[in-house]
Amino acid sequence: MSGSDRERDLEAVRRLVDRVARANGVGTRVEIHEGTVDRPAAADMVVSFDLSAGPGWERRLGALAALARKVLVVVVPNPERVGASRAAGERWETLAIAPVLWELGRVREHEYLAIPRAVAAIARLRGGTASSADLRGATGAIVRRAARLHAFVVDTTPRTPQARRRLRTAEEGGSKKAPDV
Amino acid sequence: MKKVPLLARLAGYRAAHATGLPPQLPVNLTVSVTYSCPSRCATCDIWQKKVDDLSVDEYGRLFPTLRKVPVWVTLSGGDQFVRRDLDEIVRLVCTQIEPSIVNIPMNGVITERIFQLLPKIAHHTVGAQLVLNLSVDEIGKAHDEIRGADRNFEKLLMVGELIHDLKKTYSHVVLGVHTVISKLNVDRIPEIEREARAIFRPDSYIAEVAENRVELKTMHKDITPDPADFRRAVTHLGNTIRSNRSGHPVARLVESLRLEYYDLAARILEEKRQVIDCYAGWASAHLAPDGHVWGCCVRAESMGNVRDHGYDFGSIWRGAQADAFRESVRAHACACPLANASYTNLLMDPRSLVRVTAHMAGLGHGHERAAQGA
Repeated sequence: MSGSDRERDLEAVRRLVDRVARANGVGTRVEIHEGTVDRPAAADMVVSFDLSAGPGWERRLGALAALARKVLVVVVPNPERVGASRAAGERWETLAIAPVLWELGRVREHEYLAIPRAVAAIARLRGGTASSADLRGATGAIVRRAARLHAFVVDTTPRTPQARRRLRTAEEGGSKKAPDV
Repeated sequence: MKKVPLLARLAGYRAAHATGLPPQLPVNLTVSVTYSCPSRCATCDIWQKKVDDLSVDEYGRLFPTLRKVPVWVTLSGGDQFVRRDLDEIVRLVCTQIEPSIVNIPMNGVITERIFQLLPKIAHHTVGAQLVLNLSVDEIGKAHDEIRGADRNFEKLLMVGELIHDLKKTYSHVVLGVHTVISKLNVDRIPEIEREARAIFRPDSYIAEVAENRVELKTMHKDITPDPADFRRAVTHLGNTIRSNRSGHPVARLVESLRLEYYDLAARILEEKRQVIDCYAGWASAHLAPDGHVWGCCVRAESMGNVRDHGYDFGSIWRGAQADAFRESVRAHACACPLANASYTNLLMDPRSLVRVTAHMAGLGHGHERAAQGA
Protein backbone atom coordinates (compact mmCIF):
# COMPACT_ATOMS: atom_id res chain seq x y z
CA MET A 1 0.00 0.00 0.00
CA SER A 2 1.37 3.43 -0.90
CA GLY A 3 1.79 6.18 1.69
CA SER A 4 -1.00 8.23 0.14
CA ASP A 5 -3.39 5.25 0.26
CA ARG A 6 -2.58 4.82 3.93
CA GLU A 7 -3.21 8.53 4.57
CA ARG A 8 -6.56 8.28 2.78
CA ASP A 9 -7.47 5.17 4.80
CA LEU A 10 -6.64 6.91 8.07
CA GLU A 11 -8.67 9.93 7.00
CA ALA A 12 -11.67 7.69 6.23
CA VAL A 13 -11.34 6.04 9.65
CA ARG A 14 -11.10 9.44 11.36
CA ARG A 15 -14.28 10.62 9.63
CA LEU A 16 -16.11 7.47 10.79
CA VAL A 17 -14.73 7.84 14.32
CA ASP A 18 -15.85 11.48 14.50
CA ARG A 19 -19.33 10.58 13.35
CA VAL A 20 -19.67 7.64 15.73
CA ALA A 21 -18.28 9.74 18.61
CA ARG A 22 -20.90 12.41 18.00
CA ALA A 23 -23.70 9.86 17.73
CA ASN A 24 -22.70 8.08 20.94
CA GLY A 25 -21.86 11.06 23.14
CA VAL A 26 -18.23 10.07 23.40
CA GLY A 27 -16.76 12.87 25.45
CA THR A 28 -13.60 11.58 27.02
CA ARG A 29 -11.00 9.87 24.93
CA VAL A 30 -10.56 8.19 21.62
CA GLU A 31 -7.61 5.90 21.29
CA ILE A 32 -6.47 4.25 18.12
CA HIS A 33 -4.80 0.97 18.81
CA GLU A 34 -2.77 -0.29 15.93
CA GLY A 35 -2.24 -4.00 16.15
CA THR A 36 -1.65 -4.49 19.84
CA VAL A 37 -2.98 -3.24 23.13
CA ASP A 38 0.21 -1.62 24.27
CA ARG A 39 -1.45 1.20 26.17
CA PRO A 40 -4.19 -0.53 28.15
CA ALA A 41 -6.19 2.52 29.21
CA ALA A 42 -9.98 2.51 29.19
CA ALA A 43 -11.79 5.01 26.99
CA ASP A 44 -15.32 5.78 25.89
CA MET A 45 -14.34 4.68 22.42
CA VAL A 46 -11.60 2.35 21.31
CA VAL A 47 -10.67 2.03 17.66
CA SER A 48 -8.87 -1.02 16.37
CA PHE A 49 -7.04 -0.45 13.12
CA ASP A 50 -4.68 -2.93 11.46
CA LEU A 51 -5.39 -5.70 13.96
CA SER A 52 -3.41 -8.76 12.94
CA ALA A 53 -5.51 -11.75 11.88
CA GLY A 54 -2.94 -14.12 13.33
CA PRO A 55 -3.58 -16.59 16.17
CA GLY A 56 -5.23 -15.09 19.24
CA TRP A 57 -7.08 -12.30 17.41
CA GLU A 58 -10.29 -13.13 19.30
CA ARG A 59 -8.51 -12.62 22.63
CA ARG A 60 -6.94 -9.36 21.47
CA LEU A 61 -10.30 -8.05 20.30
CA GLY A 62 -11.78 -9.06 23.66
CA ALA A 63 -9.08 -7.05 25.42
CA LEU A 64 -9.89 -4.00 23.30
CA ALA A 65 -13.62 -4.38 23.96
CA ALA A 66 -12.94 -4.52 27.69
CA LEU A 67 -11.29 -1.09 27.39
CA ALA A 68 -14.19 0.45 25.46
CA ARG A 69 -16.78 1.90 27.83
CA LYS A 70 -19.21 2.81 25.04
CA VAL A 71 -18.02 1.91 21.57
CA LEU A 72 -15.47 -0.33 19.93
CA VAL A 73 -14.72 0.41 16.29
CA VAL A 74 -12.95 -2.39 14.45
CA VAL A 75 -11.52 -1.57 11.03
CA VAL A 76 -10.17 -4.41 8.92
CA PRO A 77 -9.08 -4.78 5.29
CA ASN A 78 -12.16 -5.45 3.18
CA PRO A 79 -11.97 -9.12 2.14
CA GLU A 80 -14.47 -8.59 -0.70
CA ARG A 81 -12.31 -6.00 -2.49
CA VAL A 82 -10.98 -7.00 -5.88
CA GLY A 83 -7.35 -7.85 -5.32
CA ALA A 84 -7.72 -8.32 -1.54
CA SER A 85 -5.10 -10.49 0.06
CA ARG A 86 -5.85 -14.23 0.08
CA ALA A 87 -3.34 -14.89 2.84
CA ALA A 88 -4.99 -16.49 5.87
CA GLY A 89 -3.28 -14.16 8.32
CA GLU A 90 -4.40 -11.02 6.49
CA ARG A 91 -7.97 -11.82 5.60
CA TRP A 92 -11.01 -10.88 7.68
CA GLU A 93 -14.12 -12.67 6.50
CA THR A 94 -17.27 -11.04 7.88
CA LEU A 95 -18.71 -14.41 8.89
CA ALA A 96 -15.59 -15.13 10.93
CA ILE A 97 -15.36 -11.81 12.75
CA ALA A 98 -19.09 -11.08 13.20
CA PRO A 99 -19.87 -13.77 15.82
CA VAL A 100 -16.86 -12.69 17.88
CA LEU A 101 -17.91 -9.04 17.74
CA TRP A 102 -21.48 -9.93 18.65
CA GLU A 103 -20.09 -11.73 21.72
CA LEU A 104 -18.31 -8.53 22.73
CA GLY A 105 -21.26 -6.19 22.22
CA ARG A 106 -23.92 -5.19 19.77
CA VAL A 107 -22.78 -4.56 16.22
CA ARG A 108 -24.65 -1.37 15.40
CA GLU A 109 -23.07 -0.59 12.06
CA HIS A 110 -21.19 -2.35 9.38
CA GLU A 111 -19.59 0.00 6.87
CA TYR A 112 -17.26 0.03 3.92
CA LEU A 113 -14.59 2.75 4.02
CA ALA A 114 -11.91 4.17 1.75
CA ILE A 115 -14.07 3.90 -1.33
CA PRO A 116 -12.63 5.42 -4.52
CA ARG A 117 -14.18 8.84 -5.14
CA ALA A 118 -15.90 7.84 -8.38
CA VAL A 119 -17.58 4.84 -6.74
CA ALA A 120 -18.63 6.91 -3.73
CA ALA A 121 -20.17 9.46 -6.08
CA ILE A 122 -22.14 6.73 -7.86
CA ALA A 123 -23.37 5.36 -4.51
CA ARG A 124 -24.49 8.85 -3.45
CA LEU A 125 -26.25 9.40 -6.78
CA ARG A 126 -28.13 6.16 -6.24
CA GLY A 127 -29.22 7.42 -2.82
CA GLY A 128 -27.11 4.93 -0.86
CA THR A 129 -24.50 5.13 1.85
CA ALA A 130 -21.67 2.75 2.67
CA SER A 131 -23.78 1.00 5.29
CA SER A 132 -24.36 -2.67 4.59
CA ALA A 133 -28.08 -2.15 5.03
CA ASP A 134 -28.13 0.13 2.00
CA LEU A 135 -25.81 -1.98 -0.10
CA ARG A 136 -28.18 -3.99 -2.19
CA GLY A 137 -28.13 -4.34 -5.95
CA ALA A 138 -25.43 -3.43 -8.42
CA THR A 139 -24.28 -0.26 -6.63
CA GLY A 140 -23.77 -2.22 -3.43
CA ALA A 141 -21.77 -4.86 -5.27
CA ILE A 142 -19.48 -2.20 -6.76
CA VAL A 143 -18.94 -0.55 -3.36
CA ARG A 144 -18.13 -3.90 -1.73
CA ARG A 145 -15.63 -4.75 -4.45
CA ALA A 146 -13.96 -1.31 -4.39
CA ALA A 147 -13.72 -0.35 -0.70
CA ARG A 148 -10.31 -0.91 0.88
CA LEU A 149 -11.62 -1.08 4.46
CA HIS A 150 -14.47 -2.67 6.32
CA ALA A 151 -15.55 -1.22 9.67
CA PHE A 152 -17.73 -2.59 12.44
CA VAL A 153 -19.15 -0.28 15.10
CA VAL A 154 -19.80 -2.27 18.28
CA ASP A 155 -21.88 -0.88 21.13
CA THR A 156 -20.17 -2.17 24.29
CA THR A 157 -22.59 -0.67 26.81
CA PRO A 158 -24.72 -3.16 28.76
CA ARG A 159 -27.30 -4.45 26.31
CA THR A 160 -30.43 -4.85 28.40
CA PRO A 161 -32.06 -3.13 31.37
CA GLN A 162 -31.15 -6.16 33.48
CA ALA A 163 -27.50 -5.94 32.48
CA ARG A 164 -27.48 -2.19 33.15
CA ARG A 165 -29.02 -2.76 36.58
CA ARG A 166 -26.38 -5.38 37.39
CA LEU A 167 -23.60 -3.01 36.39
CA ARG A 168 -25.10 -0.20 38.47
CA THR A 169 -25.40 -2.51 41.47
CA ALA A 170 -21.81 -3.68 41.05
CA GLU A 171 -20.58 -0.09 40.79
CA GLU A 172 -22.58 0.98 43.85
CA GLY A 173 -21.30 -2.06 45.73
CA GLY A 174 -17.77 -1.13 44.72
CA SER A 175 -18.14 2.49 45.85
CA LYS A 176 -19.51 1.40 49.21
CA LYS A 177 -16.52 -0.78 49.89
CA ALA A 178 -14.34 0.40 52.73
CA PRO A 179 -11.20 2.07 51.40
CA ASP A 180 -8.04 0.04 51.58
CA VAL A 181 -5.77 1.26 54.36
CA MET B 1 -27.00 -36.27 0.40
CA LYS B 2 -28.61 -34.68 -2.67
CA LYS B 3 -31.90 -32.96 -1.90
CA VAL B 4 -34.98 -33.93 -3.89
CA PRO B 5 -36.47 -30.82 -5.58
CA LEU B 6 -39.42 -29.38 -3.67
CA LEU B 7 -41.84 -29.74 -6.58
CA ALA B 8 -41.04 -33.48 -6.81
CA ARG B 9 -41.66 -33.79 -3.09
CA LEU B 10 -45.01 -32.01 -3.38
CA ALA B 11 -46.02 -34.34 -6.20
CA GLY B 12 -45.11 -37.26 -3.95
CA TYR B 13 -47.37 -36.01 -1.17
CA ARG B 14 -50.25 -35.62 -3.59
CA ALA B 15 -49.75 -39.18 -4.79
CA ALA B 16 -49.61 -40.50 -1.22
CA HIS B 17 -52.70 -38.49 -0.26
CA ALA B 18 -54.59 -39.87 -3.26
CA THR B 19 -53.53 -43.50 -2.86
CA GLY B 20 -53.22 -43.91 0.89
CA LEU B 21 -49.62 -45.09 0.52
CA PRO B 22 -47.13 -44.03 3.22
CA PRO B 23 -45.80 -40.57 2.49
CA GLN B 24 -42.24 -39.28 2.43
CA LEU B 25 -40.98 -37.45 5.48
CA PRO B 26 -42.51 -33.95 5.89
CA VAL B 27 -41.09 -30.83 4.24
CA ASN B 28 -42.66 -28.58 6.86
CA LEU B 29 -41.69 -29.35 10.43
CA THR B 30 -42.59 -27.48 13.59
CA VAL B 31 -40.41 -28.23 16.59
CA SER B 32 -41.85 -27.05 19.89
CA VAL B 33 -38.87 -26.95 22.20
CA THR B 34 -40.80 -26.26 25.42
CA TYR B 35 -44.28 -25.49 26.73
CA SER B 36 -42.86 -23.21 29.44
CA CYS B 37 -43.69 -19.58 28.92
CA PRO B 38 -43.57 -16.47 31.12
CA SER B 39 -46.51 -14.89 29.25
CA ARG B 40 -50.08 -15.43 30.36
CA CYS B 41 -51.85 -14.70 27.10
CA ALA B 42 -55.62 -14.43 27.00
CA THR B 43 -55.50 -16.60 23.89
CA CYS B 44 -53.18 -19.37 25.13
CA ASP B 45 -52.76 -21.56 28.19
CA ILE B 46 -49.84 -23.61 26.95
CA TRP B 47 -47.76 -22.50 29.95
CA GLN B 48 -49.88 -24.77 32.17
CA LYS B 49 -48.47 -27.89 30.52
CA LYS B 50 -45.45 -29.44 32.21
CA VAL B 51 -43.44 -32.11 30.42
CA ASP B 52 -39.90 -33.45 30.25
CA ASP B 53 -38.43 -31.52 27.31
CA LEU B 54 -36.17 -33.27 24.84
CA SER B 55 -32.51 -32.54 25.51
CA VAL B 56 -29.99 -31.31 22.96
CA ASP B 57 -28.47 -34.81 22.88
CA GLU B 58 -31.89 -36.27 22.09
CA TYR B 59 -32.41 -33.77 19.28
CA GLY B 60 -28.95 -34.76 18.06
CA ARG B 61 -30.12 -38.36 17.71
CA LEU B 62 -33.49 -37.45 16.23
CA PHE B 63 -32.73 -34.82 13.58
CA PRO B 64 -30.54 -37.03 11.35
CA THR B 65 -33.48 -39.43 10.99
CA LEU B 66 -35.37 -36.65 9.17
CA ARG B 67 -32.86 -37.23 6.37
CA LYS B 68 -32.67 -33.50 5.52
CA VAL B 69 -36.16 -33.55 4.03
CA PRO B 70 -37.74 -30.59 5.92
CA VAL B 71 -37.32 -27.38 3.95
CA TRP B 72 -39.16 -25.17 6.41
CA VAL B 73 -38.51 -25.62 10.14
CA THR B 74 -40.41 -23.58 12.70
CA LEU B 75 -38.98 -23.50 16.22
CA SER B 76 -41.93 -22.88 18.45
CA GLY B 77 -42.96 -22.91 22.12
CA GLY B 78 -44.02 -21.92 24.78
CA ASP B 79 -41.30 -19.39 24.87
CA GLN B 80 -38.31 -20.99 23.16
CA PHE B 81 -35.96 -18.57 24.92
CA VAL B 82 -36.79 -20.22 28.24
CA ARG B 83 -34.24 -22.75 27.04
CA ARG B 84 -30.66 -21.68 27.57
CA ASP B 85 -29.61 -24.20 24.91
CA LEU B 86 -31.85 -22.85 22.14
CA ASP B 87 -28.84 -21.77 20.09
CA GLU B 88 -27.51 -25.35 20.24
CA ILE B 89 -30.85 -26.72 19.07
CA VAL B 90 -30.83 -24.26 16.16
CA ARG B 91 -27.27 -25.29 15.31
CA LEU B 92 -28.34 -28.94 15.18
CA VAL B 93 -31.35 -28.06 13.02
CA CYS B 94 -29.09 -26.26 10.57
CA THR B 95 -26.31 -28.85 10.45
CA GLN B 96 -28.42 -32.01 10.57
CA ILE B 97 -31.60 -31.00 8.72
CA GLU B 98 -30.27 -28.14 6.55
CA PRO B 99 -33.62 -26.43 5.97
CA SER B 100 -33.94 -23.47 3.62
CA ILE B 101 -36.02 -21.50 6.09
CA VAL B 102 -35.86 -21.39 9.88
CA ASN B 103 -38.78 -19.57 11.42
CA ILE B 104 -38.88 -18.46 15.05
CA PRO B 105 -41.95 -16.72 16.47
CA MET B 106 -40.91 -14.56 19.43
CA ASN B 107 -42.72 -12.91 22.33
CA GLY B 108 -39.66 -10.85 23.30
CA VAL B 109 -40.16 -11.36 27.03
CA ILE B 110 -36.86 -12.88 28.19
CA THR B 111 -34.93 -9.98 26.76
CA GLU B 112 -31.54 -10.68 28.25
CA ARG B 113 -31.40 -14.25 26.93
CA ILE B 114 -32.67 -13.11 23.54
CA PHE B 115 -29.79 -10.63 23.40
CA GLN B 116 -27.37 -13.44 24.28
CA LEU B 117 -28.71 -16.13 21.98
CA LEU B 118 -30.10 -14.36 18.93
CA PRO B 119 -26.70 -13.32 17.50
CA LYS B 120 -25.54 -16.94 17.84
CA ILE B 121 -28.73 -18.18 16.22
CA ALA B 122 -28.23 -15.73 13.36
CA HIS B 123 -24.72 -17.08 12.88
CA HIS B 124 -25.82 -20.74 12.98
CA THR B 125 -28.49 -20.13 10.34
CA VAL B 126 -26.19 -18.61 7.71
CA GLY B 127 -27.04 -20.42 4.48
CA ALA B 128 -30.77 -20.50 5.29
CA GLN B 129 -33.27 -17.69 5.77
CA LEU B 130 -33.93 -16.88 9.41
CA VAL B 131 -37.43 -15.45 9.81
CA LEU B 132 -37.95 -13.86 13.24
CA ASN B 133 -41.60 -13.09 13.86
CA LEU B 134 -42.35 -10.74 16.74
CA SER B 135 -45.75 -11.44 18.30
CA VAL B 136 -47.63 -8.14 18.44
CA ASP B 137 -51.31 -8.48 19.36
CA GLU B 138 -51.95 -4.85 20.25
CA ILE B 139 -50.04 -1.61 20.68
CA GLY B 140 -48.53 -0.45 23.99
CA LYS B 141 -50.21 -1.33 27.26
CA ALA B 142 -53.11 -3.04 25.50
CA HIS B 143 -50.61 -5.56 24.12
CA ASP B 144 -49.24 -6.21 27.62
CA GLU B 145 -52.78 -6.88 28.84
CA ILE B 146 -53.64 -9.38 26.08
CA ARG B 147 -50.28 -11.11 26.49
CA GLY B 148 -50.40 -11.09 30.29
CA ALA B 149 -46.82 -9.86 30.47
CA ASP B 150 -45.74 -6.62 32.11
CA ARG B 151 -43.77 -4.22 29.86
CA ASN B 152 -43.89 -6.75 27.04
CA PHE B 153 -44.38 -4.13 24.34
CA GLU B 154 -41.43 -2.10 25.59
CA LYS B 155 -39.29 -5.24 25.45
CA LEU B 156 -40.50 -6.02 21.94
CA LEU B 157 -39.25 -2.61 20.85
CA MET B 158 -35.78 -3.47 22.16
CA VAL B 159 -35.81 -6.87 20.48
CA GLY B 160 -37.01 -5.32 17.23
CA GLU B 161 -34.08 -2.90 17.26
CA LEU B 162 -31.71 -5.77 17.99
CA ILE B 163 -33.03 -7.65 14.97
CA HIS B 164 -32.57 -4.55 12.79
CA ASP B 165 -28.94 -4.42 13.93
CA LEU B 166 -28.51 -8.14 13.24
CA LYS B 167 -29.86 -7.64 9.73
CA LYS B 168 -26.95 -5.27 9.02
CA THR B 169 -24.43 -8.03 9.74
CA TYR B 170 -26.49 -11.04 8.64
CA SER B 171 -28.38 -10.42 5.43
CA HIS B 172 -30.32 -13.71 5.76
CA VAL B 173 -32.29 -12.41 8.75
CA VAL B 174 -35.89 -11.41 8.04
CA LEU B 175 -37.96 -9.46 10.56
CA GLY B 176 -41.66 -10.20 10.66
CA VAL B 177 -44.47 -8.98 12.88
CA HIS B 178 -47.20 -11.46 13.68
CA THR B 179 -50.65 -10.74 15.14
CA VAL B 180 -53.07 -13.31 16.49
CA ILE B 181 -56.53 -12.06 15.54
CA SER B 182 -58.92 -12.82 18.37
CA LYS B 183 -62.17 -11.44 19.72
CA LEU B 184 -59.99 -9.10 21.77
CA ASN B 185 -58.48 -7.21 18.85
CA VAL B 186 -60.40 -8.07 15.68
CA ASP B 187 -62.03 -4.64 15.49
CA ARG B 188 -58.68 -2.87 15.71
CA ILE B 189 -56.67 -4.83 13.16
CA PRO B 190 -56.26 -1.90 10.69
CA GLU B 191 -54.87 0.34 13.45
CA ILE B 192 -52.69 -2.42 14.95
CA GLU B 193 -51.27 -3.31 11.56
CA ARG B 194 -50.58 0.31 10.62
CA GLU B 195 -48.93 1.17 13.92
CA ALA B 196 -46.95 -2.07 14.12
CA ARG B 197 -45.55 -1.45 10.63
CA ALA B 198 -44.57 2.11 11.57
CA ILE B 199 -43.02 1.14 14.90
CA PHE B 200 -41.21 -2.10 14.06
CA ARG B 201 -40.44 -1.51 10.35
CA PRO B 202 -40.76 -5.24 9.60
CA ASP B 203 -39.99 -6.94 6.30
CA SER B 204 -43.44 -8.51 6.55
CA TYR B 205 -46.57 -8.26 8.62
CA ILE B 206 -48.65 -11.39 9.07
CA ALA B 207 -51.68 -12.43 11.07
CA GLU B 208 -53.54 -15.59 11.90
CA VAL B 209 -56.72 -16.41 13.68
CA ALA B 210 -56.92 -17.34 17.35
CA GLU B 211 -58.35 -20.82 17.43
CA ASN B 212 -59.19 -23.63 19.74
CA ARG B 213 -56.15 -25.90 19.81
CA VAL B 214 -55.45 -28.89 21.98
CA GLU B 215 -51.77 -27.91 22.02
CA LEU B 216 -52.54 -24.49 23.48
CA LYS B 217 -55.15 -25.81 25.94
CA THR B 218 -57.66 -23.37 24.45
CA MET B 219 -60.43 -25.79 23.55
CA HIS B 220 -62.74 -24.15 26.10
CA LYS B 221 -61.86 -20.53 25.30
CA ASP B 222 -64.16 -18.17 23.43
CA ILE B 223 -61.42 -16.43 21.49
CA THR B 224 -62.09 -17.09 17.81
CA PRO B 225 -63.57 -13.98 16.17
CA ASP B 226 -66.87 -13.97 14.38
CA PRO B 227 -66.31 -15.01 10.72
CA ALA B 228 -67.66 -11.72 9.36
CA ASP B 229 -65.37 -9.70 11.65
CA PHE B 230 -62.42 -11.88 10.67
CA ARG B 231 -63.25 -11.43 6.97
CA ARG B 232 -63.25 -7.65 7.40
CA ALA B 233 -59.89 -7.76 9.19
CA VAL B 234 -58.15 -9.97 6.63
CA THR B 235 -59.61 -8.03 3.72
CA HIS B 236 -57.88 -4.99 5.12
CA LEU B 237 -54.64 -6.95 5.55
CA GLY B 238 -54.81 -8.30 2.02
CA ASN B 239 -55.30 -4.84 0.59
CA THR B 240 -52.39 -3.53 2.63
CA ILE B 241 -50.10 -6.34 1.43
CA ARG B 242 -50.95 -5.59 -2.16
CA SER B 243 -50.11 -1.93 -1.74
CA ASN B 244 -46.88 -2.52 0.28
CA ARG B 245 -45.15 -5.44 -1.41
CA SER B 246 -41.77 -6.33 0.07
CA GLY B 247 -38.67 -6.42 -2.09
CA HIS B 248 -37.19 -9.28 -0.07
CA PRO B 249 -37.83 -12.59 -1.89
CA VAL B 250 -38.60 -14.65 1.23
CA ALA B 251 -40.80 -11.96 2.73
CA ARG B 252 -42.53 -11.64 -0.65
CA LEU B 253 -43.19 -15.40 -0.78
CA VAL B 254 -44.59 -15.29 2.75
CA GLU B 255 -46.81 -12.35 1.79
CA SER B 256 -48.06 -14.18 -1.29
CA LEU B 257 -48.90 -17.24 0.75
CA ARG B 258 -50.57 -14.98 3.28
CA LEU B 259 -52.78 -13.40 0.65
CA GLU B 260 -54.08 -16.83 -0.19
CA TYR B 261 -54.10 -17.94 3.43
CA TYR B 262 -56.24 -15.01 4.60
CA ASP B 263 -58.92 -15.88 2.10
CA LEU B 264 -58.65 -19.59 2.90
CA ALA B 265 -58.84 -19.00 6.68
CA ALA B 266 -61.88 -16.77 6.31
CA ARG B 267 -63.60 -19.39 4.15
CA ILE B 268 -62.83 -22.17 6.65
CA LEU B 269 -64.30 -20.09 9.48
CA GLU B 270 -67.36 -19.31 7.37
CA GLU B 271 -67.92 -22.77 5.92
CA LYS B 272 -66.50 -24.89 8.78
CA ARG B 273 -65.01 -27.45 6.40
CA GLN B 274 -61.72 -28.26 4.68
CA VAL B 275 -61.95 -25.87 1.76
CA ILE B 276 -58.88 -27.43 0.18
CA ASP B 277 -57.38 -30.80 1.13
CA CYS B 278 -55.27 -30.77 4.27
CA TYR B 279 -51.82 -32.36 4.10
CA ALA B 280 -51.04 -32.28 7.83
CA GLY B 281 -49.56 -35.71 8.44
CA TRP B 282 -48.19 -35.84 4.91
CA ALA B 283 -46.28 -32.64 4.13
CA SER B 284 -46.28 -31.08 7.59
CA ALA B 285 -45.67 -32.40 11.07
CA HIS B 286 -45.21 -31.16 14.60
CA LEU B 287 -42.76 -32.42 17.18
CA ALA B 288 -43.89 -31.76 20.75
CA PRO B 289 -41.36 -30.80 23.44
CA ASP B 290 -41.54 -34.25 25.07
CA GLY B 291 -40.99 -36.13 21.82
CA HIS B 292 -44.53 -36.87 20.67
CA VAL B 293 -45.02 -36.59 16.92
CA TRP B 294 -48.25 -34.96 15.82
CA GLY B 295 -49.75 -34.45 12.39
CA CYS B 296 -50.77 -31.00 13.60
CA CYS B 297 -50.95 -29.00 16.82
CA VAL B 298 -54.69 -28.33 16.54
CA ARG B 299 -55.55 -31.98 17.17
CA ALA B 300 -52.23 -32.74 18.92
CA GLU B 301 -52.87 -36.49 18.62
CA SER B 302 -49.73 -38.48 19.17
CA MET B 303 -48.56 -40.77 16.37
CA GLY B 304 -45.92 -42.04 18.76
CA ASN B 305 -43.06 -40.73 20.87
CA VAL B 306 -39.53 -40.62 19.51
CA ARG B 307 -38.26 -41.75 22.92
CA ASP B 308 -40.10 -45.05 22.41
CA HIS B 309 -38.83 -45.48 18.84
CA GLY B 310 -35.09 -45.06 19.24
CA TYR B 311 -35.41 -41.42 18.13
CA ASP B 312 -36.32 -42.59 14.64
CA PHE B 313 -38.85 -40.12 13.22
CA GLY B 314 -39.46 -42.27 10.15
CA SER B 315 -40.63 -45.33 12.09
CA ILE B 316 -43.36 -43.22 13.72
CA TRP B 317 -44.23 -41.50 10.45
CA ARG B 318 -44.77 -44.86 8.76
CA GLY B 319 -46.60 -46.39 11.74
CA ALA B 320 -50.23 -47.43 12.22
CA GLN B 321 -51.14 -44.43 14.38
CA ALA B 322 -49.83 -42.07 11.72
CA ASP B 323 -51.89 -43.91 9.09
CA ALA B 324 -55.01 -43.60 11.25
CA PHE B 325 -54.46 -39.86 11.67
CA ARG B 326 -53.99 -39.38 7.93
CA GLU B 327 -57.07 -41.42 7.12
CA SER B 328 -59.12 -39.20 9.41
CA VAL B 329 -57.75 -36.00 7.84
CA ARG B 330 -58.32 -37.38 4.36
CA ALA B 331 -61.94 -38.10 5.31
CA HIS B 332 -62.27 -34.39 6.21
CA ALA B 333 -63.05 -35.26 9.83
CA CYS B 334 -61.57 -31.92 10.84
CA ALA B 335 -61.16 -28.40 9.50
CA CYS B 336 -59.06 -25.54 10.80
CA PRO B 337 -57.27 -22.43 9.60
CA LEU B 338 -53.90 -23.32 11.17
CA ALA B 339 -51.48 -21.08 9.30
CA ASN B 340 -48.44 -23.33 9.34
CA ALA B 341 -50.16 -26.34 7.79
CA SER B 342 -52.15 -24.11 5.48
CA TYR B 343 -48.94 -22.89 3.85
CA THR B 344 -48.12 -26.37 2.62
CA ASN B 345 -51.78 -27.09 1.86
CA LEU B 346 -51.80 -24.08 -0.45
CA LEU B 347 -48.69 -25.32 -2.22
CA MET B 348 -50.40 -28.69 -2.73
CA ASP B 349 -53.50 -27.15 -4.28
CA PRO B 350 -52.89 -26.36 -7.97
CA ARG B 351 -55.36 -23.48 -8.17
CA SER B 352 -53.99 -21.88 -5.01
CA LEU B 353 -50.46 -22.42 -6.24
CA VAL B 354 -51.18 -20.57 -9.47
CA ARG B 355 -52.58 -17.66 -7.47
CA VAL B 356 -49.58 -17.65 -5.07
CA THR B 357 -47.25 -17.57 -8.08
CA ALA B 358 -49.25 -14.70 -9.55
CA HIS B 359 -48.99 -12.81 -6.24
CA MET B 360 -45.22 -13.39 -6.23
CA ALA B 361 -45.03 -11.86 -9.69
CA GLY B 362 -47.17 -8.93 -8.58
CA LEU B 363 -50.13 -10.06 -10.66
CA GLY B 364 -52.32 -10.85 -7.69
CA HIS B 365 -55.92 -10.56 -8.77
CA GLY B 366 -56.99 -13.69 -7.01
CA HIS B 367 -58.73 -12.01 -4.16
CA GLU B 368 -62.03 -11.06 -5.58
CA ARG B 369 -63.57 -13.12 -2.84
CA ALA B 370 -61.81 -11.16 -0.12
CA ALA B 371 -62.71 -7.89 -1.76
CA GLN B 372 -66.35 -8.92 -1.92
CA GLY B 373 -66.30 -9.36 1.81
CA ALA B 374 -65.13 -5.79 2.42
